[in-house]
Formats: sequence, C-alpha cells, structure tokens
Amino acid sequence: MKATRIVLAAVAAALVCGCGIALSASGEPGSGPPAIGAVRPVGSGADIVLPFDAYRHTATEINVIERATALLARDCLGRFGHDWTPPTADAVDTSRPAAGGRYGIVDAAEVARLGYHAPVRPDRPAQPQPPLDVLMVYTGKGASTVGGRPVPEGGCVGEARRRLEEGVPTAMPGAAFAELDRELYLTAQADERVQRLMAGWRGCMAESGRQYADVWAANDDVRWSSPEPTPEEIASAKADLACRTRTGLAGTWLAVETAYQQRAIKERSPEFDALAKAMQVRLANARRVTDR
Amino acid sequence: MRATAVVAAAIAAAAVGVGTAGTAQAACLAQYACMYSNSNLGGYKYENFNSQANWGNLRYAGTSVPLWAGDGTYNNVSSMENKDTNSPIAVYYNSQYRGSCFTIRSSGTVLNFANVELSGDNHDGWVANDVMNSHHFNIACGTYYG
Repeated sequence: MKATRIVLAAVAAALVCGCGIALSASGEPGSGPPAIGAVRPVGSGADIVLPFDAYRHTATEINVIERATALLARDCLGRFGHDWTPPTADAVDTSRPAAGGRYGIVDAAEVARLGYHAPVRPDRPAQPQPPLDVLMVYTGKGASTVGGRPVPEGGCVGEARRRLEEGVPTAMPGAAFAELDRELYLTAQADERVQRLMAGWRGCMAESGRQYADVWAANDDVRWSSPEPTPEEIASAKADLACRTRTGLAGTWLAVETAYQQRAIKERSPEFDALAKAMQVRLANARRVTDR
Repeated sequence: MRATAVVAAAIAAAAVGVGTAGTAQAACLAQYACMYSNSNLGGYKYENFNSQANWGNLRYAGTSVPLWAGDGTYNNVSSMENKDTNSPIAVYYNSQYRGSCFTIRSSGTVLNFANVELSGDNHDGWVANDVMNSHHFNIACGTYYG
C-alpha cells in the first residue's frame, strides 16, 4: 500500500501546487509525458539498465575508489603512529545487478524457489575490529588532537576522500541526484501508461482471488516475512509474475522511466556533463593511488 | 516542515512517556549499521551487523517499536549510520531489497532521510518516515553518498 500512497501523495502535491508531476530541471512543468522507445522484456535484474546508471560509478569503480580511500587513510593513520591494514575484501559485490529489484520480482526461477524472498547471499564476514583509538582517528569522531597532531576533519577517512576529490569539478550533489532519481521513479510509476498496466495487473491478480492495490502491496505483504517462503507465498508470487508478464508491466515501466530519465539528462545536460567529468577525475585520482 | 514534524514527534512521544527523541545515544558499534527513529541520529536506535530484508520485523533496542510500522509512522527510520569501514550499505524503499534505493558509503552517515526523498513541504514528515524497508551491505544501488 505504501508505494500507492506515495504516488498518490506525489499526485496530490502536484495538484496542490499546480506544477504537475513530470518535473523538469527547474521544477516547471515538463512538456507532458515523454514518448517511450522500444519496450524490452525484463526477465532478470540484469535487464534493468537505466540512463542514469551512466552517471554513477559502477560497482567495480566503487571498489577502486574504496580501495584508494583505505590506502590514503592508512597513510594518514601512519602519521599518528597507527599501523592499520586496510581490508582486502571488495567493498561491493560486483556479481549482483544493483537495481535488479527496482520494479519488484522479475526472475521466474527465483520466484519459483523463493516467492517474494530475496536470494540469500552470504553476508560479509566479520573482520577484526580496529582498535578504538585507531577508529577514533580514522573517523575523526573523538579527540581533535592526538599526540600533538590535529586530527583531520572527518578523520583520516575524511582526509582521504578529500584527496580523491581534488580536481573534481563541482557537480550535482549526491542528495540532489538521489532526489531527482526518486522523483522520476515516482513520476514513471504514476505515469498513465504504467498505471494502466498496473490496473491490468490488479485485475489479473483478482482473477486468482488476490486483492492488492499495486505490486508493492504484494511485495510487502507481511505474511511473506517468515524466515522461509511458504507455499502460499510462492503461489502468490508466481501469480504476480504471471500477471506482470501478461500485462507487460515491467518492460513498459522500464521504458517509461527510461524516457523520463533521458529527458532529464537532455534538459540538464550541463549538470550531467559535469557529473560525468567528476566521475572521470575521481576515478583517475583513485587509480593513481591504487597503482602506485 | 521536516523539523516541525520531528519536534511534533518528540512532543507526541514525550506525551505518552516513551520518547527518547533528541537524547544522546551510545555510539554505534564498529562495522554495524545503526538506524534511528529521528533525524540527526536521535530517538530510538537499532543496530545490527547483518543485512536486513524487512525492517518491519525489527524492533528498536529496548522497545517493541518496529523500524517500519506503516505509512506515516513517526518512529520509522529517519537517519542511519554505516560504521563499516569497508562496505557500503544499499538502502531500499521496499522489503526484500526491492524498489528504488540509495547507498550509504562506508563510514558514512545520512542524518535525515528527508534529504534523499521528495522535496517540498507536502512530502516532508511522513514520506521520510515511510519508505525505507530493507538494507544490504556490500551492495551499491542508486546514488552513492553519506
């Protein structure tokens, strides 16, 4: 129910302020819903690729940046007499599609096995906890001076991150990008083309006696929060996915959101160009550290 | 409006004698994720080492208050710390790591989920308290910050 309420809230807010929900760069009305391109089938999380993805570091790049951050932080900690060994494990699992669950369940094999439960992957192993005096200097949360040396703002990790940002042009802040991403996600979900298919999905589910307002209400049904999926959950998830397939919901949803994101990139091209440039410089900075 | 909502939540909680909104918290343990019911790491606290697929099943420490209890519930998570020095945390708007998402970098903090939500007074307050429902370590999803 909550996703429905969010969409309704977005629509209601738009009505109150009279500014529409297809937000453009300036917050002024867009020129109506954008035309969509080809509707591609979505059968797995890997199929969900959006234009904004090109303006975010990939998992592999994040691992390089995090590794560089750790190496620079190690150098910083050395100045305080701490011998700290950075973690060797990758920060991010590169084998998993980052946005695979953006539209809910999509993978028939997973649904048949797990219902709405996400595949369980081994959580990261616990690593030896750094001594707390090291952690204090690493994070900068504690004394401002240690051994007569001032602790950098934000600690050694703060210093490391500032080093990696040297020469990086000013670009859209992460919070603003996240907000834009969220706005367009909700706008796409509220788009008439998606809502029409969502209504079809509702009707399809009702044929098997399942009454849900939208796909999120089914995904978040508290009955599915048991440790292991129940037969009822798996049956419901199978019906859900069959209805998604019958209506073509996920593919259209992806196409609609793609169109909104493409329009935003076009309308805000200087900002997105700056984001791309910032990513290049940041990654080059990180590689210089990891390659040294 | 968000600040108003937080204050209102504090007043409402105090009125029933269960609130700790705005009070100092013990530090979040190293390598853990810590979630708080109010912005700025205030209010109730939950901390755990592992990824969690359904915040509705979790309870703040020492309480029976869930981290997600339905739309518009003030005590739903409003800020979060990632105390892992290596792993980022992907935070999802739905259970089972689904829906849209953002990522809190290693050793990162998001002081107010309202800042990663829809902007505008019409959304603040309840939307920020509504949508977060699961988190996963070692995944980067959506915008990466904190």
